[in-house]
Amino acid sequence: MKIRTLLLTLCLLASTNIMFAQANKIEFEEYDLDNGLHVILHQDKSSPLAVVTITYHVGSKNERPERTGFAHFFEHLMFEGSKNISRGEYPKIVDRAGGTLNANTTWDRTYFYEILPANELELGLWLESERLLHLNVDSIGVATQKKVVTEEIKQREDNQPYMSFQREIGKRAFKVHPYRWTVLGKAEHIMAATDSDYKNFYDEFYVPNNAVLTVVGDIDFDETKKLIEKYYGSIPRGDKEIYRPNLVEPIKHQEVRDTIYDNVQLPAIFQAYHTPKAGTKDSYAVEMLATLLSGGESSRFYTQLVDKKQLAIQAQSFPLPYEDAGLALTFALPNMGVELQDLEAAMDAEIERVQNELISDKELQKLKNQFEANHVSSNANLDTRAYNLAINYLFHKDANLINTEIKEYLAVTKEDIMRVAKKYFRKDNRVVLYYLPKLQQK
Amino acid sequence: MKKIKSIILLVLVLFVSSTINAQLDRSIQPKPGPAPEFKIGKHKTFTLKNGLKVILVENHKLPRVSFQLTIDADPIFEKEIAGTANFTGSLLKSGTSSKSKVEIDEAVDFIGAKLSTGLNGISGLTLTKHKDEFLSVFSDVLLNPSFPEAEIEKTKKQAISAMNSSKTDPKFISANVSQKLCFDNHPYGEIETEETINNITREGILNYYNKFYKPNISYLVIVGDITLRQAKKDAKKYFGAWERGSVDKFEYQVPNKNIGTRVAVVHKEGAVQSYINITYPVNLKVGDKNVIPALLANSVLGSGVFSARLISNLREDKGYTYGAYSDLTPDPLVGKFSASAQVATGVTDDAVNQFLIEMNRMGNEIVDNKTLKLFKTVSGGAFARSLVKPETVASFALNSIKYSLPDDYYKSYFEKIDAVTSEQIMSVSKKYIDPNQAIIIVVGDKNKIAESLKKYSATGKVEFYDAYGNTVKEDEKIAIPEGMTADLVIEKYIKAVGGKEKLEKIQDVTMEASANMGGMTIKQTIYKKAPNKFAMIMSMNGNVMMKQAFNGKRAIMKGFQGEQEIVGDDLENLKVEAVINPELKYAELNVKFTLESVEKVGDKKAYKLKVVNPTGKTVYDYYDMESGLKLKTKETIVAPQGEFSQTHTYKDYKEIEGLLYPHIIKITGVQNMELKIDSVSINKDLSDELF
Repeated sequence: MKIRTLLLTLCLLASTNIMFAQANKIEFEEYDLDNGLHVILHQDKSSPLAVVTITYHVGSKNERPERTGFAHFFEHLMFEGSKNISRGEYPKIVDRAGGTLNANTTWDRTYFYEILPANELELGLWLESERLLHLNVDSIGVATQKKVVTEEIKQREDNQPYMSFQREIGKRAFKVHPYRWTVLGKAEHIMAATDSDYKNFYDEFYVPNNAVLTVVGDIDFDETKKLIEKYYGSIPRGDKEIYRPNLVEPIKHQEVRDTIYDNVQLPAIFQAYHTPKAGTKDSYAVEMLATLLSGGESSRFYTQLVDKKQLAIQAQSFPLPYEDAGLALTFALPNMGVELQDLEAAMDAEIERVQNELISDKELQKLKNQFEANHVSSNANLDTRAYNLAINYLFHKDANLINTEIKEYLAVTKEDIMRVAKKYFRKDNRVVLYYLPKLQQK
Repeated sequence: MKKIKSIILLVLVLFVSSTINAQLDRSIQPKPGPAPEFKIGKHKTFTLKNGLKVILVENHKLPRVSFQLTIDADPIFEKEIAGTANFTGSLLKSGTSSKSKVEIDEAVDFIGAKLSTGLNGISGLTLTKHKDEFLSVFSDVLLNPSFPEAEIEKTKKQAISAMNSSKTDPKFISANVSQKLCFDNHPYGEIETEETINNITREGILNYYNKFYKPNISYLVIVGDITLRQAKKDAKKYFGAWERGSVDKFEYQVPNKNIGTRVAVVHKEGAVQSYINITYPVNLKVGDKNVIPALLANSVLGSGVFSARLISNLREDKGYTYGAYSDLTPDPLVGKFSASAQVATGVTDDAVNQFLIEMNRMGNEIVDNKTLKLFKTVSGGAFARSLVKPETVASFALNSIKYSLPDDYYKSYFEKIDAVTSEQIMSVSKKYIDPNQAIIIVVGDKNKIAESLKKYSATGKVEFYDAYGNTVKEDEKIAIPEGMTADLVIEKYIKAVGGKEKLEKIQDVTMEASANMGGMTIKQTIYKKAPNKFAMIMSMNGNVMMKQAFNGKRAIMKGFQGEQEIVGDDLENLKVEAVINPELKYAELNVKFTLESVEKVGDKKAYKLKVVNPTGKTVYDYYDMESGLKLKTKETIVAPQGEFSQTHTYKDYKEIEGLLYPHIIKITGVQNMELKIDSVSINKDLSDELF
């Protein structure tokens, strides 16, 4: 056991009353267990709750191309039971303790949490240790979850208007990197999965040295550390090499353009520009640019496309900074009778404006103010603090980004925004999809 | 700093050594420590001279502060202008005496704040350091709204489009019908329709604003990084000038309890699922001693956890649905019970049956202690988690004042949950979870479900409603008059529009129409030329958006996607539809048509003809029994989400050169719009190049 960093300051020891609004700094402590499990603790005594989260560094990008969707499917299996918890009991134990639980999977990680009354902290730690150490999934569980996940894919991607964009954009934007398939993956890959697939996946990725455990809330650090050692200290380190794709998507020099006929009533435009990976200087500037375009009713897309020209009923830009690469997505729904080309031209014109004219000082100040306000709100709740601490460590090996990342945004200049607009928001660096009602397909 | 580090290191080392030898039996589920006390945070209140009551929950953890202003006006009957109060609230932000909507949006975004306005007032959130700029916008939209005419019109259009897009949504339909049936002769029973929204005026909005936006019936809730002293100063500065005024009070009788189960069906043609909602009004006031046991009883029946009875019966056991839940809502005037699920059409009958069984069980069978304990924990846990947020503390304080609750009402919440007995669960269930009071509202295909639902109705009858809760007369079977045939219907129609002779003389027709779509005018011109040439051009602002042309052999569609050739069945169908009056030539075109029945179209009786193209494409045409004119065409479109029907209704027949043409064509279903026929011209010697 070794202590990595210690951010415990005198301030925390002092009465919380004098901890005024200045910075709302999040204090925490972190260390590694001998088996490689990284632990982050954060105390907040304002309510007697304890949040236990565990994040595994595995997402859809760690899958094999013939087993897409496996990471998410495995997330479902994690609720099935363990050596000491029989099938179906896991969520009920949490119910009986007066808590709540859930999990989710992305391209880069899988996240599990329990929110419990503080006196059930040990229960939460035991629960997560059970499924890290000896998950137990029987054939009924596998069969049931195969059906459930297949239905989930239909419901979330196929049967919902426009939502197939994730699949359609992904496979056109990425040719090499595993971001080319979606987190939910293909139903037939899930159906084809075998017992050895589960075993191998579990043994490779669900190991302490591939996980971050955060415990936040009304906890006593010493007591918590003792309990963590008790339940996690003897879990063996994984002995397999963990697969992390080191594939680099080649830079695009040609626009990809396509039409998708889907079960939609209104047409739509999706554009995706390749952008840098999360945590880079340019990624912060891209996020600011997206807010300039569509953050609030005074944003450029809203005022120009929706309000003034009435070309769109909705126009959004949202950045997707993944761990290995990024995409900046823009999306617009045309007003009735507006041609998609006209709408697209107006969207492009807004991008060109950023490329050719520096934004005003006032606009830059507005962006900074918006990011500052978001920063404060994003750490308002116990559970989001637990999540942000885990993710910052997992992807950037710096949990303290929870406090310092805002500086990276505030350091972005007008010139940076113009530069990233020119560098990444190029037509030859994007995918454009037109969504049209299926009835128009001949 | 250094010192602390070393102390902790030492402590950790000690732990390692002490735990390493401990034997751990992982099969033992850890026992909880002593239960913690969940405390409700403190609040403070004060009242301004103008009567505005202010509630403050101080919380300096984050440098932000939220403001929520509630206008606590009694609901009123709005009748033909339903939606006015709602519009008044949502339009506060659309302009003030000194600022345009754009300026307001800019001011709010510039400081990274959030501000929204609606029916019950205004709420928003800002960083502490921008509080003054924020409050000046907040008080400006509250005190000086200008309700610009143009913004009112824009909002009306948006509201109507949103409503049109929901017209076939079973949730929307069910909510309308349940509101209307549960709260008969009560303001809660009023619903907004396209008509009432169109009736809303700026005058009506100003009138509502002037009558009800008064400080003496309002509450300002402040939560966050602000002291009492500062809050008082700010409240006075930004809301002190708001003038008090007398506000009318309105009281209503609690709607009558429904006695005897009713069954109400809203027909949705070809629906693959039925939306079941079992609902009725309950007299359960906020703060009533029965509220806590009743909510606990409802959570056993229909909360979201897997142990709840509805979900374990209808989903886990029978697989009828993805989710089945129930809600019990206390209210200062009149509350509501509602249990709902979307189920496969074929199991509608038994799903209703299972709902009723589970509801009855609550009142007739004692809940065992283990179950009671589990749901006490689930409810208590959810309550405890909600206390983390200072907003929850504020909402408790607001409720306590609004509904004059005892001081310890929320403080003793856990004890009250804990004190509930199985007997109490049964007795409140008898009162509030009672199928005999229920109105079973089912949105689905009436032809497949109505008959089987009759048995649940106390009167043995099923009531029928439209999407807005208006009564639809159950179709009386109207007999086809003796001797009437499909051929005679067509013959009568041909006579009615002008006669065979005149129709056969038509060599070409040009029809110009316009439609309003989302505030924009779309022009459509249709050309037909004998024997079967057809062209259609759609344009907006003089720009062609789409063109379709068929020269009798080849059909092309041009749009912003480029040019596409129409082939296959679509081409074959076009060959029939391109004929000027296909009804004259059904035999020649190999179109099969049969007389199905007599049905009502609006208040007119009509012959329903099934018309089948050689490709198998089927439509139903409705011909007025009296005039012989075509009233309606209906077709079913099969899409992966289900089946949809698309209807064309023909109205306003006018004479053009001795022939009758409809001048309004209303299209409903997948697409909703009204085509106005601007002109029809005949035999203009159209050039073949058009096609």
